[in-house]
Amino acid sequence: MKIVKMIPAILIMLLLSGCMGTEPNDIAYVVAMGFDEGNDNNYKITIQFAKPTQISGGASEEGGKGGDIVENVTVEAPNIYSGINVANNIVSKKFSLSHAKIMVFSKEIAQKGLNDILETLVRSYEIRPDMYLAVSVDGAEKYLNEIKPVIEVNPAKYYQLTYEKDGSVGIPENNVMNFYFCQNRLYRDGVLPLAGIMSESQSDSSSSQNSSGGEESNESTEKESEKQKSIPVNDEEFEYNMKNYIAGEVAIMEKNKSESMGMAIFQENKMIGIMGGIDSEIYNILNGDYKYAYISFFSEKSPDIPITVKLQQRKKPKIKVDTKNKKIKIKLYLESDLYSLPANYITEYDVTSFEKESKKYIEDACKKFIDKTINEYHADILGFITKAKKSFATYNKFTENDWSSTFSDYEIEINTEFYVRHSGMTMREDNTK
Amino acid sequence: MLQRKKITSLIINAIAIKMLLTYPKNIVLNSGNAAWIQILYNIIITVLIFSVISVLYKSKKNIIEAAEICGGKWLKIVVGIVVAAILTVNYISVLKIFPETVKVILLQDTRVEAIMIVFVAVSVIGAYMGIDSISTIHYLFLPIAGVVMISFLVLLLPYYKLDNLFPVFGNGTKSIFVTGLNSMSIFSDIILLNILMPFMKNYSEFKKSGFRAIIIGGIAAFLIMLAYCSIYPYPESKNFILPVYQLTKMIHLSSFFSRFETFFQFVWSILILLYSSFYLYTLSYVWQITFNLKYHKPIIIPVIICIFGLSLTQNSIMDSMRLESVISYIVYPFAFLLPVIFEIALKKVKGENHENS
Repeated sequence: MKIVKMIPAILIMLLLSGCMGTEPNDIAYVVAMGFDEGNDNNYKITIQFAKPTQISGGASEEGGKGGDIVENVTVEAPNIYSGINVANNIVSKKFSLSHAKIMVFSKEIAQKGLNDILETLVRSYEIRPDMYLAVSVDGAEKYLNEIKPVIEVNPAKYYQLTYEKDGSVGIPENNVMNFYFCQNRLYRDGVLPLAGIMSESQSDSSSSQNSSGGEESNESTEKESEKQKSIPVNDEEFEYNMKNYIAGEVAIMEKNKSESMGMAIFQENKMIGIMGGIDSEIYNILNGDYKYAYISFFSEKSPDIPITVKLQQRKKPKIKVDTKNKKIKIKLYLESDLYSLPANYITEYDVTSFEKESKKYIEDACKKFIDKTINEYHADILGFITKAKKSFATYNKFTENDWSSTFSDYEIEINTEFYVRHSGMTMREDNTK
Repeated sequence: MLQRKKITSLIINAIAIKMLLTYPKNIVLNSGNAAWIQILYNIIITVLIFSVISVLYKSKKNIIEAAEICGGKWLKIVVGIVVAAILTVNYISVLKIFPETVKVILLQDTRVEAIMIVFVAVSVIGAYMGIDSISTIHYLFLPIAGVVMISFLVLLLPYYKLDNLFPVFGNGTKSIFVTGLNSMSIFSDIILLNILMPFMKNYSEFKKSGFRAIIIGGIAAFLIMLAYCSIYPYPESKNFILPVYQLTKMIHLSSFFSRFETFFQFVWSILILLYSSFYLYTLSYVWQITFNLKYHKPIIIPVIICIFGLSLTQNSIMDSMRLESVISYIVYPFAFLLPVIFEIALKKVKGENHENS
């Protein structure tokens, strides 16, 4: 009798433990998708999927190189899933979005609005809420076609490291879910990182450098692109002498022509403007997402050579919105280590004055940034509205107060705690004293 | 007789399980980002009502047996049917919503009827094993579920944004404190404690198990609601069908840890299967005592077939969710009032009998 009772248990173990339906080998894992304008109100959807045999740890032990690890398919369709449906007929495997890492939108699509696409992204059971979004100034298809990771053999890892690395402060942090929340202006206005590809002249110069070397290489180094030259050098004291790049303007020599720098500003999911890498750094500082980066400060004691520090955010900024007196108070907590100093100015002995000077430069840069976002773009990308909600007891009372038309009248007050903590491995002695 | 800790485990799971399904969405729909205050308010009111019940209810008879003493056989049948109806409507929504959500998030290519059949089969096996086995497994598994839940709340720490809890009263005090009373249906399963009275050693077991279950289940519900309200800003938070699952999908620690939802799916499925077995057993038991049947086991299959048939009347998950919100208006007054009414009636009858003798 016991044996008879065991038969169903054994059958369940044998039958239910196996894979039924689609085997993992029958699935093509999408790592990225791009959206450009198509014909007849359709999107031109570029689906980038991984080639598992080319990825290290797959069938090939060594892994593929650059663009070998991914393949792109472009179709025209009215939305994501109809695009996937069409693409399923092009490749032998079935597409899955469960490992998709990024969705890239062309500038034109972003300007028209991303509401419909976002709706699908959030509704989908397979798309993860931490997937990255980006706007490509040069078109999504072009950007994805130029993805040729040089030092990464796993495409998903490539996107993760590009859009999430601690020291990458030239782009804002983002993901699907956060951006979905931003479609409601009662939360905040959204921002997305800018992606782009090296301009033609730049890529020409880099390819000739890579292929030929020698004399030709020297010649091409001189061929700095017009685009690059046209970007003015920052004469503000924060990030002094640096260029406020956006994606597509940064790399000079690179096999992988894709890059990300700067941010796109949205209002109700419609892109209304773009800002450069330095602006993104300030955005990250004000938003509390700043980890660390090497920042160059102007110094009156050494006006020609900037002082470079490793700037870190000690804790998230405190933002208080006083709706009665129309005041926004921001307190920043930053600290730094001295990294690159001018030879003729011994900063280590004058830290207090450097701290005071830099503190003022940071505050000025932040004020200018906030002023630009509020008065030029009329966007609340720092989410002051969420702080203003504290002054109201109920949601109805809060919505009665027309925040979006009044927040530009608010007075901004920024206070920074900025300290220099370390001087690196050396501390010079001032022999003149 | 069942041990107190096992009874408490049964009721904790019955209370907290609703938070793992679509229930938080209904609360957010009512009071917005103040849903956490509404749950807190519900806990306080339920504790007060249960205190009144436990002060009044001193007998070791459940409401169906009490009805027989008060009004004879026919009142017992009426009360038995009312109790069975309350449990059935509660159970139908779970029987439909759980397989539908499993289909959405796990088995997209499987027919929902097939998932329901497997779910029902497991529940039937559980109900056949009896209340002792069901309560023992509840008692063993609940600490594991607790550990997963605590880890889940801790892993969500980087995502909490207290600003999302403002304006503090959300959709208004009327929504929280007046219409918010409807969400007390989360505690309506406290009626199961009364039905299980014959399995308890004495009356104080009822009292202690009840308070513990309300407090522990309530705290779990409160923490889940607080996490959801502080991570998902209102009004977007009212759009998600499975808030807890949605939260588990958010967990992402650098590049080395993500997809926490797999742990959740494991715990979630087992908790709901245990809940379903317990409910099916209790329903069969209610029919058994209502009609003075000798055994409950032969009724299990007919009961589940009826409920399965009723659950198929809802064509979609949208229908099931609408039904769930209607149920929340109907169920809880009965669940809280029936024990009070019958204890008062029982005392009166006993008093009259005492006077007559």
